[in-house]
Amino acid sequence: MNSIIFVMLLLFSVVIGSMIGLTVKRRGISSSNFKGGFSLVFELVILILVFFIGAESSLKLGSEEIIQGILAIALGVTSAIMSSVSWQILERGSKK
Amino acid sequence: MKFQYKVIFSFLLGMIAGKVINIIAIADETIQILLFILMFMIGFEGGYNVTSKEIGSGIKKGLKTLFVAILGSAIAGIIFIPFMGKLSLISSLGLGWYTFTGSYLATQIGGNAGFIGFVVNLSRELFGMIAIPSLSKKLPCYALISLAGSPASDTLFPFIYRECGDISIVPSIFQGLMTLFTVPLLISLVIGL
Repeated sequence: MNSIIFVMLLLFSVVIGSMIGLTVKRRGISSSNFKGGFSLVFELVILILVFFIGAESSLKLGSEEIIQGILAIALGVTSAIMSSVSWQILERGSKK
Repeated sequence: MKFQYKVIFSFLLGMIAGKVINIIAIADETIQILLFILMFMIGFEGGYNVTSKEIGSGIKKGLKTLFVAILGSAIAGIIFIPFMGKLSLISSLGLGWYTFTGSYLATQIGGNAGFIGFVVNLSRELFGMIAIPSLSKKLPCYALISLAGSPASDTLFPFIYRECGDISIVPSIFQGLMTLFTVPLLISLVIGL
């Protein structure tokens, strides 16, 4: 699927969900009625999602090129760490 | 069992299953469907809890987290230039969007660059799955959104939401959306340098 269409569909899911959530709230239904089951299903769906991402990665990262990719993995992890560290540095700087 | 251990376990189980059983054929579609379900659930929670005032401030925060994600990734890319050349900077600016970066670099520079771009950004996403639940007590939520990069609005969004709750919805989605425009622009700019 085209990535822009995919993101638009994801956003559409969020919008539909939020409209239903808003309707439920306006009808005065307490969140305690669905909170427990909601969290459980949410966690379960994440774990199934990770399972399938693992299955997909096994195909894509299973080649001999993985040795060449070690440096690339280090760069990916460093990019993530640097992004969060930059946030903290800028946040501290703006507070001073 | 802690959530991040469950995540690692599920991932490893998936990797083994991917090698043993032929589930790869359905993996892509299943991931998409599960993402739609998660987005719907998060939208439901957001509609129930988020106010319109929070949307405005969330967009501002989303812009800031995007800027920081680009900055941090660029710094990491520059650090790796002695080992990988300019390709490190180009790849790191993919911000975790491995499908685009991998295929784009493969067509623009070559197969090897495509592979590097793919691995750099996939490993960022996989690292986020472990790092977000693990670091949520130590780092502020917006730092976690910056850490996630492009997948902040899809695969890593449920992880961020689980740790940060409703305040993360608008900045995460906004950052993820904006990367759709900024990543292709930044990568093609750096390739042209």
